[in-house]
Amino acid sequence: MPEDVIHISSLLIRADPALMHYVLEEIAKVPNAEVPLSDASGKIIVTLETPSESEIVDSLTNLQLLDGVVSAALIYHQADSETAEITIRNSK
Amino acid sequence: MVAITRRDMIKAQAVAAAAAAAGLPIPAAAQNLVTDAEITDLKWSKAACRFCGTGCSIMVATKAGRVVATHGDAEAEVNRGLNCVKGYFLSKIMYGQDRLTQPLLRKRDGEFHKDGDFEPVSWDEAFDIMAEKWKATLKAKGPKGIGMFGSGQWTVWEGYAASKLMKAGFRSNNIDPNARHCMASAVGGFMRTFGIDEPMGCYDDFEHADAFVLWGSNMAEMHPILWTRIADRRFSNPHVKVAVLSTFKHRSFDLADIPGIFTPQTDMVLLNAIANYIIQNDAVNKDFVSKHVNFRKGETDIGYGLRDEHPLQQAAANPNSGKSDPISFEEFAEFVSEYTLEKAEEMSGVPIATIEKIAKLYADPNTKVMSLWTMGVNQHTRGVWTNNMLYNLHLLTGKISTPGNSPFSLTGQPSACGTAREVGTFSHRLPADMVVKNPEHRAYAEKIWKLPEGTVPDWNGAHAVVQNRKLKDGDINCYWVQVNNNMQAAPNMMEEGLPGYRNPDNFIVVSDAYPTVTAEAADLVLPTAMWVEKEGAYGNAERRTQFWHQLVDAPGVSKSDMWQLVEFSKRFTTEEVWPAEILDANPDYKGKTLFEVLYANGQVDAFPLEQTSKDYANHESEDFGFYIQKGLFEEYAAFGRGHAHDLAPFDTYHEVRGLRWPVVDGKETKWRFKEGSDPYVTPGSDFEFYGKKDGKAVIFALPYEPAPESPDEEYPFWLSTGRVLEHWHSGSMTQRVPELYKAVPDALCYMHPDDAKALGLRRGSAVKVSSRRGEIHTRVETRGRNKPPKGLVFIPWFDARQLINKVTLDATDPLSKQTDFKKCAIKIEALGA
Repeated sequence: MPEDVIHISSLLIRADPALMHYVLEEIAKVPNAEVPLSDASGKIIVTLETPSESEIVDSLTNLQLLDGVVSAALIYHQADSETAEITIRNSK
Repeated sequence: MVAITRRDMIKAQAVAAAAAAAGLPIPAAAQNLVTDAEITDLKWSKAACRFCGTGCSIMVATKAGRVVATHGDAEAEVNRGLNCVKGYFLSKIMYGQDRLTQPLLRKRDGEFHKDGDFEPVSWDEAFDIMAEKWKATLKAKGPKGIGMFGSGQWTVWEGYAASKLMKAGFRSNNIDPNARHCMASAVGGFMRTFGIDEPMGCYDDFEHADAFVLWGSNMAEMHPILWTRIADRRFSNPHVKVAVLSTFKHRSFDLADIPGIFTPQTDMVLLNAIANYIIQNDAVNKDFVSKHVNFRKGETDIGYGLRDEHPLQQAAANPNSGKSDPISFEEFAEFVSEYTLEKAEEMSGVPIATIEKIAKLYADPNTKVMSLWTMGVNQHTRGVWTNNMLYNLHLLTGKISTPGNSPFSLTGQPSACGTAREVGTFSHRLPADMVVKNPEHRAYAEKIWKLPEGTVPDWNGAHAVVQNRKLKDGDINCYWVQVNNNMQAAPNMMEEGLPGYRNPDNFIVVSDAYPTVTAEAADLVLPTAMWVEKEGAYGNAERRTQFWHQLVDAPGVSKSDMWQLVEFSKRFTTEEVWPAEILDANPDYKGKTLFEVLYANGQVDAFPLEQTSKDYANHESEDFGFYIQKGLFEEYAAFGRGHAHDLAPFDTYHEVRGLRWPVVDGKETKWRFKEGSDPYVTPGSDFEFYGKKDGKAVIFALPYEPAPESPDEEYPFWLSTGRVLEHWHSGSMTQRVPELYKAVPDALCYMHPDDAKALGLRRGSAVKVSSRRGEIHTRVETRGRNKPPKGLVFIPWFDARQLINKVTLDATDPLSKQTDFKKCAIKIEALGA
């Protein structure tokens, strides 16, 4: 396996809307986690960039056990070993 | 043009997929990025998840012959792009380091020997020894001397091929699926109340219900994707209530508006108390009940499905009786009247106020209620009764078969419904709810199968628990296990399971992808192609049939279960397995192999290879020379078409994300038994429970009866077993995914901190957990996600190094023959003290 593999994944978390604030604060403490999107009904999207898959599971388990989190589901995962910059079309 | 990194793009895709799944607007940064196959070099195909009964659709990416990525299928109605942690790691279950790749036979000095060591052999040698053993046993003992144990993880056509080989080929009904441990009580409940199996409603009910009541189920961990749908409904609609009832506190309680912890077995008391409440508070839907319901009183004191000589069986007045007599509504009302809220509180430990809150959900005509249950109700020595009693509540109030009004029996396996139940791989069943005891049903099966009259035997075969007993007693000598780990899963392993497999008179064959506990107890192990290494079909809990293509090749010489079954059939001629009277009366069948009469019968081999997909391999069809999956499916579908089990044409399922049967005129059925949504309902009848001849469902008067074993001075704790989120069933697949193994490496004994303290134990203490039957060593957990009340412990059963089924009791529901894994009495002692 190449050394420089990175695992990119996204999670959908369903939180109790009343505890959103607390949950977002806790997520901010998870290394490699970002919240690109959330809404007031309690849906939170988290992306993870981790050097290994086991860290995805650890993060998922930890997030799932937070007070206020009702469910956490994995949406997307891809392992990537290439670092090359690519150019893609970015148009409507 | 804009330059961004490849990783930015992958990340944007990850966000876009999550936003789509959440129904949130996709952020601008991710909006214009398209999944470009040229860049990622991945081939994406759909497949049904091979874990629980939810039936999520998964997009599977392959690259250079390997599965490299998966994501939830956004086009799937079931999971809408979501994926739980188990499903997420689907791509890895095929690549465990100890994957079996070649047949293994126990040998000593170059020959089979029961006490020999496993040595690699060819398929030919494997089938040679199998055929020799099968033929010898068939000659000596007849069809009752052989047996097969299959699974709700068989694909539809694997289960069908197996059932046909056993029931029509070998003329033995000794075939049962592991769904017996899982769904048999649910089936019994459906057949008794409605006369037809499987839920009337569907997952669409989640978005219509005003209240959800969980009876013993921990959906947050066991059905996380469906739980997300409940959470969405609850948070988006403040009036929605969630009630969670269980014998211990677990993750699902986080969402509970109405939590309740009840003493094991007293769910029956709560159900009767709620029925009584509905009647006492004039909440019976009299119009519905008068038109669509019959009342019956069941026989009581029916024993515990133990061996006949067991004292508890001897003490029962009506052992194994499913009889019932018609009664009136008034008699039913009188029967449940003793179940007052006060009595229910006293027996169950659930406060009156809580019971009343739940009763009101059912009683209020304006509240649409969905009841949900799985193993808590099914793995129950009164499991069929408890299923019946759940339907009682929905029938009394007419809350059934309409959006949001839904008694919903969840399943544990991906094709418990599609294969075990619909194909009828149980020891007493045939496809489409038919049974082997019914001469008309046998004749119908023989006609579709183009087989002589009298081929299908008229006796109920041995069910799961009895199979193990018969192996131990030496009554069954040849036994084939496919796609399950029954040595670990079955109860009372030390007294029944292991002695049966290692009985010197027996030859045990296990087909599996991994060296499970069961495989290690076998004499011959057959390496098996799994999941997307073959073309497959599953049927989920909402009657949805889903297909997938073969996406990758299996390792080594592994072959699918279906290939193994059909290939094995070539080794037998009709003269070797059928009696002379059948062949004399039907000379055309003389001199043929079972392969010829069962599979090359002009139906199963009717579809040429050219009809297989150009884009995907299909190793079985290539080997047999015809599109065997299509042939098996179409022959099987003939049983149900026109009989309220209609399946769509084979090719349709490769295009769609599944369809819910009955599929009539190309349209699926969401709510059965209701005019307007079910084409089988007679116009003008409004509701019709057409599984029963008079179109009426049955409300059963049934009492509380105690568990076979309860805590006492010597064994003071209740033991409940079950699963955890990260591991599925016996862990033979999930334990091989390093990340899942790391997350929850060992099973733990979850117990109340006060109980631990009283025994001088702390969190992490090593303990011996023992019953009258066996013991295991494990560690105490007092703070985990499962929080039992005092007097009860919970131990998951996924861990092959801590086999909790050495401890459990093999008591079953006397009607469904399903084991009660949720209740027995144990003691706990400190180790190394």
